[in-house]
Amino acid sequence: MRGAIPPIAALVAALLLAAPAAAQQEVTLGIRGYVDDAIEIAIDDLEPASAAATTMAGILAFDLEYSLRFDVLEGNPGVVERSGVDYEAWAVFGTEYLVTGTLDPTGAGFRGALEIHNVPFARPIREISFALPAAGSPGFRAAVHALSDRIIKELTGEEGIAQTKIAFASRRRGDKEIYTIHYDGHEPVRVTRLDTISMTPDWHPSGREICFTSFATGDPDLYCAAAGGGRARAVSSHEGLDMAPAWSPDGTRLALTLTKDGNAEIYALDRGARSLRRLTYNLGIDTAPSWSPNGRQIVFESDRTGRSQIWAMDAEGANLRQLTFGGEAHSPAWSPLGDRIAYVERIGGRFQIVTIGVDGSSRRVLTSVGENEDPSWSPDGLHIAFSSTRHGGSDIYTMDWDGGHVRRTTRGGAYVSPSWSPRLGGPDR
Amino acid sequence: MKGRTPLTLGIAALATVALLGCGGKKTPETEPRDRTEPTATTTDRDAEEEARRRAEERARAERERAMAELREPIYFAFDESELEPSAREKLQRKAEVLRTYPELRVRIEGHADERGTVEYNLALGERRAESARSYLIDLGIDGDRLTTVSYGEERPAVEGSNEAAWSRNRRDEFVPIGS
Repeated sequence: MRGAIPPIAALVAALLLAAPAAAQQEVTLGIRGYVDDAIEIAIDDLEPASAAATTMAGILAFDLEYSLRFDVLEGNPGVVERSGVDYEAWAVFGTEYLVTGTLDPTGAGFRGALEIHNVPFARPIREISFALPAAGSPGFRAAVHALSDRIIKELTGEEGIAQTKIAFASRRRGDKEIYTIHYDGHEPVRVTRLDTISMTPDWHPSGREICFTSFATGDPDLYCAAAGGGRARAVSSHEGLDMAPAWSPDGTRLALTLTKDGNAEIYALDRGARSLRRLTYNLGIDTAPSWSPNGRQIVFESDRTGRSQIWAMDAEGANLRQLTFGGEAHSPAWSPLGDRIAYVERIGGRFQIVTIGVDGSSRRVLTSVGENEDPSWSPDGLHIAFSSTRHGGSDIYTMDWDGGHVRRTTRGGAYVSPSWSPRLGGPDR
Repeated sequence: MKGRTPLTLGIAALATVALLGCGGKKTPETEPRDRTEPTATTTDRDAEEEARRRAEERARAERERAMAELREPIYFAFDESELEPSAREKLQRKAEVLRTYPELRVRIEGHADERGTVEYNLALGERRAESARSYLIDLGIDGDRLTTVSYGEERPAVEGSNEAAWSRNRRDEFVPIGS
């Protein structure tokens, strides 16, 4: 019977067996969010046929497939429909749910409606009316992504990630600027115009601002700017480096790295009180902080024992523990599900993306080609954005939590330091 | 010493040669030949002028040599910020330059090769810049004259993903400020 166990169930079992009692709770909670049985869904051609209708159906299909919760059949596979939906014909394709819809041009854009059908029960279960701006306008894709998230919520009860973006640094002629792009690799938007090195972006949990390190004054300091672009305001300007910003999940505290006290140490900046608290004390380089989803712990990298390794501590700096021991490890990122930590490990001389449990157990190597760096989790904890040189220059990619479905987000070969946004509610963000 | 000069040369040239001779430097022997014989009344002034001009030129050359010495980068081993003997030697010569030109300030820029993460390399570059700064302070240079900045892996001296490029990129650069 072992062969019949789905891989994810097997992983759950392996994690539970491997993890000490203390960690079991978190592992179990986290795994609950992982998907083991995708819903068969078909997206019929929208009517009347148009370029915009094809684009829209393509975006919906991509989003649903990407969510890992659906197997998508895109377009009509030859079902002839004379009067209403022929449920029995759709059932031939194993379809559990069917999406049909209309997209009618209006003066400024489109109006339309999507109907979701339960195919085995042979009846419509939900109708969603919507308006879209003109195809090609900046709001079109965002509005369709919002519809995808509504379908996902309707059929699974879970929040989707179709309305997310990835911030990254673009390298040109020795300078770097911050950009965002839809998670599916469309509509890049420039955030900074500082004509210097601006790097390592991190989203504020509100999704409204992006914070980053910049050499705008010659000395690397921390700034935040509106995610849609705008004036950068300084948030931390000490002598030496101000870098590696990481907002706590509730958006009240900013973990960062400063060298003002002699070498790279991690601090927490309280946004309201403007008080700065030092969290690490040693002669090594301590940097790249990342918060646990409940905001009580921080995982970071430190080379205090020689080569850099992954460490964790309480948000106040106590209860230090080392999570990795071999080789060299960098750039930890705590999964929003709480159960795994992704990081970069040097394996055979090259950087690869690896995940471990929060106690350092059950290590899993996710990449093997090129240099792979800077893992950043999607808000549902099911995907990881990273940079990779697998096709030459450095580009942004995403993959599933287990290394599957690697997708290329950028193609210019000059992009690094991805940061996945929180869920962005409105199309204007 | 290149003190022997043909008598046919002008007085100004003699003065110049004497000046330079004291410094032990070679004199370009062709230099004065196309000059016309100065008149008696202007000779002294011309000589002074010429001497000052040559002294300035020499100071400028000397300063250029010193600045080149000061700008000379120092290099580090992989993932290291410890100063190697060759780097110490270069820093000793830089300290001498800084003692000779007390008005000079220096910005020390630490760099890393592309291997390693952006954040780690920024911290490593900072460490490398601080290594040079504290050694210069040990050599008696006032710390107020030495600022540091790290560029991490952002500003490679040489593009490329091989040891030849990496070894040139693991470095401190020294930028003189003010004069």
